[in-house]
Amino acid sequence: MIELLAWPFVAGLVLTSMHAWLGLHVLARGVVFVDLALAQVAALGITVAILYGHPVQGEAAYWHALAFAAAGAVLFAAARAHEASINQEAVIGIVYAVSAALGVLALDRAPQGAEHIKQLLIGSILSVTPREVAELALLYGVIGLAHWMLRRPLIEVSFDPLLAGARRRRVFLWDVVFYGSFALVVTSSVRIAGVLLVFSYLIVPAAIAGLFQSSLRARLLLGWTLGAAITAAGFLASWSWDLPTGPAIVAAFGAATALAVISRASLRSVLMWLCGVVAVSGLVLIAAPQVEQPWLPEEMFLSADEREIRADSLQSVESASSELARLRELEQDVRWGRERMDPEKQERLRQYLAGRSEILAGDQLVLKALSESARERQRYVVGIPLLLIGLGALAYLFSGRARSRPQ
Amino acid sequence: LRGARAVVIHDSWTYFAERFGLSLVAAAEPTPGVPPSPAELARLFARMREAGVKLVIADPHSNPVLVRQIAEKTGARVVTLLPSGTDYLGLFEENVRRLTQ
Repeated sequence: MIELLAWPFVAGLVLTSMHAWLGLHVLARGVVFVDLALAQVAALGITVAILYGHPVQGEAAYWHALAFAAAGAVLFAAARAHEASINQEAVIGIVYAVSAALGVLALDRAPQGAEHIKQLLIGSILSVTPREVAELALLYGVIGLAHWMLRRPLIEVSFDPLLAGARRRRVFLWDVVFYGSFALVVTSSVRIAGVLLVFSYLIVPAAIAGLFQSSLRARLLLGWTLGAAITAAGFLASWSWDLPTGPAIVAAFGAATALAVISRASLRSVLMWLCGVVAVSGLVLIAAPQVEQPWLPEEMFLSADEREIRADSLQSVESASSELARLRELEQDVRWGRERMDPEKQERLRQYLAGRSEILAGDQLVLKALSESARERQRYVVGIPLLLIGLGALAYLFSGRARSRPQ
Repeated sequence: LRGARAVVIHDSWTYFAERFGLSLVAAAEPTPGVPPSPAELARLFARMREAGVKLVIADPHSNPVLVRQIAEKTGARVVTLLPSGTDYLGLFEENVRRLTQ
């Protein structure tokens, strides 16, 4: 485990160090989606490189990505000066959508286009080499040092543009410096970690830190700590539950955000959300009983015969799943040469596995049909009370909130 | 090469392997574009070392980072086979040439 995860984890720490800082700027500027937009522009550059026959991880692809991202950075810096005519966030959204669409159009002409898109989104943090981590750390070190030396104008332009204007700072120039270094960071990060993970590193630590701290220094320190802790949790989840590492870390960032928000919310707000969920569950059950809602009790809505069939099917699914897992393991062992088996037996095993899988699918189909029958019967008997209880409790909580407000 | 065990990056080349007597033991990335989990990768490396599998079959669009990592960790030789070409027989000759090189 350590051998495989050590360098990817260090890469996660390096990403945290730079992205938490840039995330604070991005949140202060109110341009949250600038990272996704720049990453998408960089991905468009990589797509163009792929179309020209360059490998996705090659140097040519990197320079294509950097050139595209740099152009995007200048565009975003220029957009701020025209904020009165067109909102900067609108420009960012348009650039994101158009870049993503152009990327799909371009990859439509490339073999395995969908696979490339997935690779760009998910990245390959698990396969990062020590050299790549060292290069990334060096690059971020240089950019971090430059940001520290230029911190006064950069912080003023991001956090207090009015003061920057009063001091006659060249806002466009400092925006180009900020977005330019940002584009360089994003381009370098995306090729290792993918668009989704880079966005999470940028926004989540800075956003959670903003919930608990007010000064910039404290937010940065908390952001670094949170980024490191969530990275470790994501790696642990990925290893323990057999999940792809990048998406597992992104999910850990999502869970951390939810926990942080809940911990800051009042009991009343949490109850209001729960009531909302109950009401929506009831509404969905009434309007579309075919939608799966596994938390609803279904057994009591089945007849005695149906309950017996359900119990038999559940038992059959359980025994078939464990038997299939054991036999697939045996088949793997034979393939790898750990077990010996003559070819005729191997073929019989293959056919048995195929047949058993079909029987398992049949049992799952029976369970699905019973579940649908139960939901159909629950539709009004459970759906209407759920909707009324949820809405009633919600109305009560809202009225309580209105009463408790000072006049 | 006949009878040699090989790991493919994606679940492909089954008929090719059957025709030319290769035994495909595992796919490193069963779902194209979704990287394997650390436990899957660790299991793959351990089994490749244990079984002495020294051949990885990739195609031109396999994730190059994953291919490089498997080769580095297990010392296996990577052969990139072409899924398409200008003429059918020439394509097979080229793929066989790459395998036997």
